Amino acid sequence: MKVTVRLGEPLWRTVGQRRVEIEAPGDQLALPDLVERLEAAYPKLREELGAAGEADPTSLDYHFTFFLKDRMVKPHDMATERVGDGEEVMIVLPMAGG
Amino acid sequence: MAYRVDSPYAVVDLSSGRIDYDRTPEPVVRKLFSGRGLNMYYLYKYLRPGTDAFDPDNPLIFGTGLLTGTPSPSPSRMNVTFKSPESGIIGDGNIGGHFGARLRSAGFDRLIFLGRADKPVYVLAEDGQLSIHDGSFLVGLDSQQKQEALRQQLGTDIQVATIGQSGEKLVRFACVRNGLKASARCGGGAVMGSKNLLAIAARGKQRPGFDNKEFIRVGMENKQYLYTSKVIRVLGTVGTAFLYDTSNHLGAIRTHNSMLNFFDDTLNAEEIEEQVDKMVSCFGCSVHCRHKNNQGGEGPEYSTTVLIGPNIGISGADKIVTLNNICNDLGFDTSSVGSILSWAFELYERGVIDKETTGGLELRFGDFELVKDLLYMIDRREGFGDVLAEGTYAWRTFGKESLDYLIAIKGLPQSDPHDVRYIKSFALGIAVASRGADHLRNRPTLEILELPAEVTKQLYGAETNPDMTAYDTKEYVVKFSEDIYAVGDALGICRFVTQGFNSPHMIDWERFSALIEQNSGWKYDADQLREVATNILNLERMINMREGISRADDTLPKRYFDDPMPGRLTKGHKIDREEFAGMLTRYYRLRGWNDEGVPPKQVVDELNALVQPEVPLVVEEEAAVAAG
Repeated sequence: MKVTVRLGEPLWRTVGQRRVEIEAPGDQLALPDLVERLEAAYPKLREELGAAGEADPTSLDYHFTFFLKDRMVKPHDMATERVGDGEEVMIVLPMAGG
Repeated sequence: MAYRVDSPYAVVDLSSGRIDYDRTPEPVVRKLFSGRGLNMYYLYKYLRPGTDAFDPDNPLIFGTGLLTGTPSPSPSRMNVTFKSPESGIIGDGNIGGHFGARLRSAGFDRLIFLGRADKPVYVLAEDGQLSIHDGSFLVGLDSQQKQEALRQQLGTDIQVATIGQSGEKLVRFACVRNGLKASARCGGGAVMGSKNLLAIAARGKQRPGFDNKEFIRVGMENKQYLYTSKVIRVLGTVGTAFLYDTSNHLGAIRTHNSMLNFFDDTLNAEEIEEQVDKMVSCFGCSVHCRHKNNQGGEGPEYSTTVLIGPNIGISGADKIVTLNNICNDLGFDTSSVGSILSWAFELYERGVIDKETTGGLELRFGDFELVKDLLYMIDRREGFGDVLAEGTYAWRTFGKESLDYLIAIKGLPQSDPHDVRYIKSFALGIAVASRGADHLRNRPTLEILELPAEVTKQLYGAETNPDMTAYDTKEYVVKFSEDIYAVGDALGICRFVTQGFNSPHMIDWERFSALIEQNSGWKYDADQLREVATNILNLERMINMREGISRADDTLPKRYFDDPMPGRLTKGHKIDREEFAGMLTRYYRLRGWNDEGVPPKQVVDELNALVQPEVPLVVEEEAAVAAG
């Protein structure tokens, strides 16, 4: 299977491109596994993402937000959410600024 | 080490030329700090209810924060306060740059202008003294030209707060400028123009707090803490521009006067970045969030990008930079001018207005050349520009039906670039904001994170529903934001480093306390800081009530109740009237107000005793209802 990952600020600067493709066996991939493969393919992302794939949803640590199939994945659902072949995941730093 | 525990200020009667010097007593400063807090104290004291915004009796107050210009993190901010010609209620802008710090260097925390000069003047603040000078050579210049003319006359060590021609022409959304920064909101530039006060120049050598090594150490520790934030790093790299992509993906961007909620990809951060030479900062700030653009200006901020981009149908980063720079030079609040233009465009599209009203102009979304022409016409109040220069009061020309399509609250166009129909706390926030439809008073940005209840309890003191589209418990997140932002404004600390606006981290109650102790020797815990916020918020409510504001005004644009969002993730969302009413009532009760939004008589009496205004607000005993 192949998943497209669209990287928001500041992640894309680390790899130099806005979209990267991640390949994996099977037809579904849990989001923490996707993050693991992403970090393996782009080691510099590991520092940026921190523990994004396994973030403690009860901590005040700053989470990146994942959009999957045009909806936002809630922190509590990160571990169970799965992405399928050909789908796109967007990872952004959630802010609303001014 | 000398603490500054009272607050030096001057009252300038521009009609007579009289200048009085005084200090705000320490007990008052302790209750309201400075900045926005003391500005409201003096607005309530000097403003008589019903005074027209352009009447000479409208006080115009430039007030620095308690920590402005000190070794604190991001300490550049000050407030410009008056009765607004856009809304007829509190007018209050906040500005960074260097003027606030320089005004304190000149020996003043606050300048209060009353009356009207009989000819154009500028005022010089220097070494604890003010002087009034002929300003006729500044007439007709834009805001940048005025600053340059004064630098040539007075030297390059001055900082200047000034207006463009738009302020002189009383364009209702004219702003006050320093460098390339603005006190944008509520039309302070027009009030300044109405007083024939074209500029204030300041210079001096005082550096408050820099004689205190421990203060410098605490300030540095806070700056280093901020450096660890991803958010700060992104802001320092691309500014607020990166917000566009996410919001557009979500479908939360005000587009075509909120008839739509998403736009094209031409305004993403990397597109804006191509127009940027470097990043620049305000006084003492380690964030560097502002673009120095390749067309000679600063910006655009994300809000500006949306309001003069998707909101009026303009694509292309180069065009947005051009319009941004024109607005800045002319001295317009981009939030207001973008909203007024989009309103007019929709009215024309719908046939509510026609060429008879527009002076023969064909209005349409996305017409870059038309927008440029209209900006200059507004500046000169020429033709249809004279109508648009009236801001939301243009409804008097457009007719009452036009109000159904106006994205404004209490007469002030919405500044938040987000369509608030999706995130319900954002909707409550702009409905109750004390200066009208504005996101910088209380926007609970952290709602986007959908933090779990156990986390929100740490932040807000209550477990809240993490679902950002829900209505319940949103009063807690709005009140938290409103409180900490009010204290930040009273201290003169930038919103971007204040907890809650961009991140759950940043400068929080505890860090504010440490900085206040270094500045003033006062110990405040979180509860006591929230009391200061409550004093400020109650005072603002009283000022607005004295101008006739009631529960009926704490509402939203009609479109947000009636029209569902048309596309993307947010599709179908709108505001339910009954749910909104419940949310509003819960907010009032949490504030300790009654269900009509009236503070308790005891609170009103205490603040009346503190301020001793010429015309105190009077509330009846029975109007007060215990907090729920």
